[in-house]
Amino acid sequence: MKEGKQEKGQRVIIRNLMIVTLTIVIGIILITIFPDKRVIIVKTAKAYFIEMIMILPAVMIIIGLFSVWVSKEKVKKYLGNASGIKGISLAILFGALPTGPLYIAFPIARELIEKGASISNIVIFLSAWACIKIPQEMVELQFLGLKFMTARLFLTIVFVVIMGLLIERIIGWWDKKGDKSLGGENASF
Amino acid sequence: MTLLVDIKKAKQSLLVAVKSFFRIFPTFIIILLIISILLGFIPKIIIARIIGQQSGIGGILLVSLIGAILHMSAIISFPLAASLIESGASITAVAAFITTLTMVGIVTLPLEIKEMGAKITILRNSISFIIAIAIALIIGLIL
Repeated sequence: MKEGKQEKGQRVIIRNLMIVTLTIVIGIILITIFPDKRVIIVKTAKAYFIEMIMILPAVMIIIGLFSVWVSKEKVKKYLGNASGIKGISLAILFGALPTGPLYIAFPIARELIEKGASISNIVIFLSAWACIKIPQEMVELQFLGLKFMTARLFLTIVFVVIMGLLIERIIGWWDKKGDKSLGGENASF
Repeated sequence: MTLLVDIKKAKQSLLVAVKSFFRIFPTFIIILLIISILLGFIPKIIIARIIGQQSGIGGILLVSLIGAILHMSAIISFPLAASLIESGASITAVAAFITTLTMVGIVTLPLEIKEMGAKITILRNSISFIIAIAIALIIGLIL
């Protein structure tokens, strides 16, 4: 059992390495064909790499601490299915406070789901992380004006909450359907 | 006694941290390369030109799609959006662009599927896309 798991892990690592190598090769080929793009591609890659290597280890340590120290019961209580409006507000707050690109939030969201947060709250958390950021709103205010910023912020919050609840419904519906068909199969055996 | 327990727990957290780091790292590298190549081949000026020229529902769809494909930090996108409005782009198009840019991530789809599962990822991205257009249309109406 354990060996099988290890083997699977190794296969995934090899596959990942192959995809990374392939992407690097494609990148090098593109740079050789279009040498005038080299500067900007390398510059962008460097900037994103630095951003990533600065934030990622910290985020991973937070996830590690969270996974060991925060109990399932707590997450379930504050962000679970029965958390209601409080859960929604918390999810928005958790998403809006930290800064950083959205892809950083995915591993955090996964950890929260594993600890019992509801799907609606997770979708709301991710969306808040994506576009309800306090520093971001300040920049938007400065460049696009108060009316544009408040209108977009208000509409985003409303739609994001609706989307979270909707996605939870759809997934619940799918799972129910899956259970039924599964039950039918079991019954025929 | 409690200190001992805490050291054990701390080690465990660190282990989780290292593991999740290596689980995600290759996907990050791939995303980073794709973003760099995309931005390398589609400079900001061209994006601005495309968005500035668009109007009507078709135009807004196209602008939203560009926002969904591109990956740019929001802080960079606001000055770009402001210069677009100044040079005559419609508010609706700009709002659609900013909203899909932040909420929908086609480039980061592999990572999102890996972490969140295909169901949530596909639902979240497609509904966000529709929402972005709805938000943009409402902003266009009220502003």
